[in-house]
Amino acid sequence: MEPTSENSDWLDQVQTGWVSSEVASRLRRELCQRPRELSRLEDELALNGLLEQLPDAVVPSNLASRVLDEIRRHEANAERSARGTQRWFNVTRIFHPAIITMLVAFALGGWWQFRMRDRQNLADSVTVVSRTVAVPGVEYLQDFDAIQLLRTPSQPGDLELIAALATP
Amino acid sequence: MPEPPPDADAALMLRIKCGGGDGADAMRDLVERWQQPVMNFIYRTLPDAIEAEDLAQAVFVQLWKTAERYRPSARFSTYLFTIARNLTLNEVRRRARHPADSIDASHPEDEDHPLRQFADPGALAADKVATRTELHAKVEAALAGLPEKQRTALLLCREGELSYEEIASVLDTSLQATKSIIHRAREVLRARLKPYLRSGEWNDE
Repeated sequence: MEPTSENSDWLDQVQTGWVSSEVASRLRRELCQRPRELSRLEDELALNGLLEQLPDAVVPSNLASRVLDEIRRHEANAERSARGTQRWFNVTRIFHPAIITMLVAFALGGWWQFRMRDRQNLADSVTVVSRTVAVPGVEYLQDFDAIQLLRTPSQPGDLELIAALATP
Repeated sequence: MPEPPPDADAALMLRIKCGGGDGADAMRDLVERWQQPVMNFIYRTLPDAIEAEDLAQAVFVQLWKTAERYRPSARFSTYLFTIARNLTLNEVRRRARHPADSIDASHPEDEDHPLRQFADPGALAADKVATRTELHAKVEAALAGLPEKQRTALLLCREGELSYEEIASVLDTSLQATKSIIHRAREVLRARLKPYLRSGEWNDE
């Protein structure tokens, strides 16, 4: 959108320094009845002029060559590094089967140890349980009289005997 | 030299991405197109001629190193000045961490030049008297006295001809914040350079 005095865009455009001489003249005409804004416009245009007049920094004539030389050095270093890595890989290639075998052996050994430990833990747990719980032997299951006695409820008169025996 | 179309820089970057001899030619073209704006930007932030040259070289080398990451969706100048600003800020921070360097020490690569060369508005170098005026020195000093974001925003307007949106992208701020930054920067400069703005000459008040 063209900057005009009717919108605030004129200040944004002037402050970014993108105002042609034709636009500047037109803004001056439009703001001539608004002295404060006109004064602001003149200040901003003058500041643009000052910044534009600043001399350029001196650029070395061989900057492009220096950049390309630096890039070639980087590429040469990267290539040398890649060759070194490839050479190391080629030399150690004969050891690769042994290294792989060792790795597989370590992995299998570790897995086997884990399984053994797991089984030992299970066996230890069964031992503890079997010692704690006194499970009667099989022969008890054949003593039918004993089983029958377990079924017989106790006689009421026994309670009086127990009470008498308990008294000192 | 007529200004190439806006997407010419993007085309050059794509050639650099492809590499090879064509990439080297494209790199040379980019450097020659942008070396002046980049040098101006760096020199106004880090007024040390030799450091500015080295840093400008580093900016373009970094551009080549990061060519794979470049996407033509944004303007090339935004990408370039983001790199320039980051490298310049790194150098400023490095100097702040190592202030013990002697200002009289020689540059390790050039014994004829001091390690540090600062623009001194009050004492112009003899070989620059013919070309620089006291007014330029005042303007440069006023610019150098601005906070980093304000100075960077103004330089991006001047050197890169970036829009507000593009400047916001480089500064990593919002559009509104960027407008405020530029507005404040110009307010400060207008105040500091008031004696010249209307008269056309420097009159100390």
